[in-house]
Amino acid sequence: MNYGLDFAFLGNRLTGTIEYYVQNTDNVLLSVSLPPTAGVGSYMANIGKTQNKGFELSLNGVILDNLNGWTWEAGVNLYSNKNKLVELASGADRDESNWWFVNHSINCIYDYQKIGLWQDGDANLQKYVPGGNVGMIKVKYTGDYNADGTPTRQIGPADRQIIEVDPDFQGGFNTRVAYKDFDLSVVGAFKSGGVLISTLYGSSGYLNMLTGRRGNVKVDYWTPENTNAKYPKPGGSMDGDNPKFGSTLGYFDASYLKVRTITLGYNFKQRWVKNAGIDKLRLYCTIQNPFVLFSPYNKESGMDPETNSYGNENAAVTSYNKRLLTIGTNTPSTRNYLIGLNLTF
Amino acid sequence: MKRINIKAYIGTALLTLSLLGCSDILDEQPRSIFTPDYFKSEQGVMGGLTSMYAHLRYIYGQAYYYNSCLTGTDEVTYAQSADANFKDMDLSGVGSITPSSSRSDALWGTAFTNINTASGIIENATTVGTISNALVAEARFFRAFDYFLLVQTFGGVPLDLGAGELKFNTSASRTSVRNTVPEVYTKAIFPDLLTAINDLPAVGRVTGSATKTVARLYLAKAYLTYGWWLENPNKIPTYPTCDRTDPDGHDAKWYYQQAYNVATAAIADPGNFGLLTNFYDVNLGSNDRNKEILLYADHTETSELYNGGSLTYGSGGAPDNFACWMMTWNYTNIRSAAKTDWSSVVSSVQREATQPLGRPWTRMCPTINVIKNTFADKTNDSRYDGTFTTVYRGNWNRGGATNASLYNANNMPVVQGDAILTFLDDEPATAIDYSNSTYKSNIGAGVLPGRADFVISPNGISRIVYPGLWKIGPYRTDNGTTLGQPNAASTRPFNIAKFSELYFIAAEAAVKGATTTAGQSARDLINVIRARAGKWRWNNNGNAAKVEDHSAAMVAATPATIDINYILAERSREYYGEGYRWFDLVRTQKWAELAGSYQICGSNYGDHTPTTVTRTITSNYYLRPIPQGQIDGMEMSAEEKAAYQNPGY
Repeated sequence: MNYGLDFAFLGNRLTGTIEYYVQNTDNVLLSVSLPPTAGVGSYMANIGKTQNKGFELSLNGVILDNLNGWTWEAGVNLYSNKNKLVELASGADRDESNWWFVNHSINCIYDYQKIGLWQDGDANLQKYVPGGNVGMIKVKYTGDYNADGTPTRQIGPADRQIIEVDPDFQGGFNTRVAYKDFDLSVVGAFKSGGVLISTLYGSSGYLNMLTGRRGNVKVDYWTPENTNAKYPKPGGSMDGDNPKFGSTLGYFDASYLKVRTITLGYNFKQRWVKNAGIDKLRLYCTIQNPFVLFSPYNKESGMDPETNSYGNENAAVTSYNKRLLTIGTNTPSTRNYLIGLNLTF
Repeated sequence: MKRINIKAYIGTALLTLSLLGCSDILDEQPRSIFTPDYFKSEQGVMGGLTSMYAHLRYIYGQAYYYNSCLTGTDEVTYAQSADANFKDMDLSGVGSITPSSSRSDALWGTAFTNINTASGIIENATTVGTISNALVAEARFFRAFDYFLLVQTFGGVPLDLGAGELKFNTSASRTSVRNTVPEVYTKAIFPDLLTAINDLPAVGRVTGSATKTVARLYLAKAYLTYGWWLENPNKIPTYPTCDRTDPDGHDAKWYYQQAYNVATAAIADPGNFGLLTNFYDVNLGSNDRNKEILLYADHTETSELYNGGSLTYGSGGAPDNFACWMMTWNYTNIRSAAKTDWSSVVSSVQREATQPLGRPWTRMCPTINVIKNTFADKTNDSRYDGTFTTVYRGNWNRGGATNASLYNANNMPVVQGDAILTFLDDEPATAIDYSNSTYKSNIGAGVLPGRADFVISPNGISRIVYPGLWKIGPYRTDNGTTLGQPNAASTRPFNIAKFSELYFIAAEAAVKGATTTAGQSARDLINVIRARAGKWRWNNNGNAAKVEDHSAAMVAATPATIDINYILAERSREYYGEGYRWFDLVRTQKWAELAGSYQICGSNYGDHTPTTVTRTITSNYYLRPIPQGQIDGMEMSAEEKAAYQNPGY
């Protein structure tokens, strides 16, 4: 199902499209991992039905059309896609080993949810996490409580949460302003909501181990004097040489607004240009990836908030399915400054 | 009409073309993947058999699984750099064993695939027609081998993987039903091993392959273990719940007798196996794959492909053999001085790929009780010296430092090869000066008057500085004059089964009431092992030949009556740090009694004050949790999943 509307107003100075779609997919062919007792590791199968629905909106306008030498054009597009697993082929409503949950996006994480750090004086730490220490990661507990307020069990696999990673909406924009022979254009992109997985900060990259002096990411960690820190106490409870529940450190708000390029150009149209036998002469300078705004990940790390790896790549140990996108130990996007000259004879 | 005809012709022609095309495409000849049909060829069966041996490397030498067989027993506790993988297993209040933290997952995740492959070989061998019974018997041996490991670790496990009991499964089964312990023994382990003993050759088809002797060892051990299970002296629960009655109608005593008979038959008919003259040679790297070793997970330094891992830098995962890193402490922090005022120091014992040293991870360590009690006799019994690195010797020249000599304890000069640090056999008469005020060992080691080496006494052994495990240390022939490749995993085979264990199994069965034959009482059998332990030819501690025979003293010290605790102590002396211990303590139900507390000094350099640590070993821990990956992977209701898990987890 797909509804679309193309429109144009003001003598084609404002054009746009609106589209709404619902796409149902009946046979999703994916690799299914099996429990060890099957004696077989995995197989390809129709895992069930999915649905994608969403809208796309784009607007392009000429705001000033050579008014006293000024021209201003702008465009924006916005789109949102909601993925949902409608049903599993097996009829079950959840598949915890393959991270498929009916009525949730196929792009989800099944993991503990960090709610802070254990602080001095927090009750029942040893009941929640036997062997745990003050300053370690505190994750959500979903179990019952005894009459005296103690948990009926320790924190375990039953406390894992379904965390969807898809954003609420995303889009892009571009604008171009020209005055006489000068022109300036800006291209950008944005995203709102969703979860960004950074294996540089989580436990699968072995880069945020908090255990000793080695080349790890710089983080604000817990000390008795710095109890409001985001990251746990170094050398506390460990799991696989990383902080216990360390995978939760790799989840960030995926929102950002990013300017991809800014270009300022000047076209030489003076007589000497023609006299020199040059057809066109243009001088321009471009900055690629000049800045990122509204990105919690960029604010904390200084790094680009766009993913650069599949889930099973660019980490010390594989912790995620390939279908999830991550920021791993891959070449980051670079900021480039270009000065160029276009010559046409 | 004519037009329609032409259309029909064209249509038919197109259809024919596409049909022809299809028949070509569907003629699939997969080259990059194996399909179940491959097992129906001779080549496929041989490939499957080879994978039986390769699968051992995902269990033996895998350090986290190795840890699960030792940490928490009376042999091993966690060391300074331990994470939850090790602390959880210690049961001393620093963690807890859970379905997601237990490292028995290495076994669970490997065994069923191999069992399925074995079932495929057994089923398809008849179809192929050219596979001998001796080859099929290898598959039967490994199917029994895996089921025996599983049943000891988890209790009852599924015999039906999706295609029926002990059938080759090619379906995508996402449910599972556990059989009971007696079903696993009587339907799978015993019949497979009996056939294997009958069909396997006395001498293996290649070095290290399955033989009659190794099958007898496992059958004897399985009879013994099942006998204990039927008797259940300490009322340890089993799961899935079932009566302790034998479907074959025998009692515990019958099985003890069978264990004795099978073990002594194997000793009487050893093929080309047997005991070596000296204990030292059993575990000496240059003497690997010797006649005492019945089964091992093999590796090689000649090929990364066949080794299964890098020859220069191991990343700490199977199939690498990296178990030896765990009980190696960071000896490279030892410092000796270039000047007598200790203003300039040198790392005098550097990371080297030799059996006493190797790559240090400091994850597991022996307790003080091991050094003082298990190995109380360090002079007659060669096994303490043949198990631990007790002297760390200078190797700085091989590491590139050019100093001809260095100053060590008491500012006495040492040259390369001299003792830099010694773990003393006993507490010295003079108090050790652990101050490190003048002679800064950098690892909190002490000084005794007149000695050039730093020293630590048994009471000073800590979670950060402790005798290393020489037994399984690395051995390479390509070091030359350098430190070699200490960061590679061990290229030695990881030993799994030894001829000597037949004596222990027969002796244990005799203690449990088996009728013995003349000259093979429990005491006689144990004395064979003890007499051998008294024969020295080399002294690791002194790094020099020591040809001495203390057999008479060893035999004289054997108690008149052998009991289970004595057999367990003797087993620990023989197999310390090889991964036997948890199984031994669980089989004999002595875990809580023997490992309930231990002594060790703390995790900081210079801490030489022993503390007593108490463990809480409840009866539910005698079964490991079913790994979370299995629970997550099954498509069953929450109640069914809860019922699949062992109680208490």
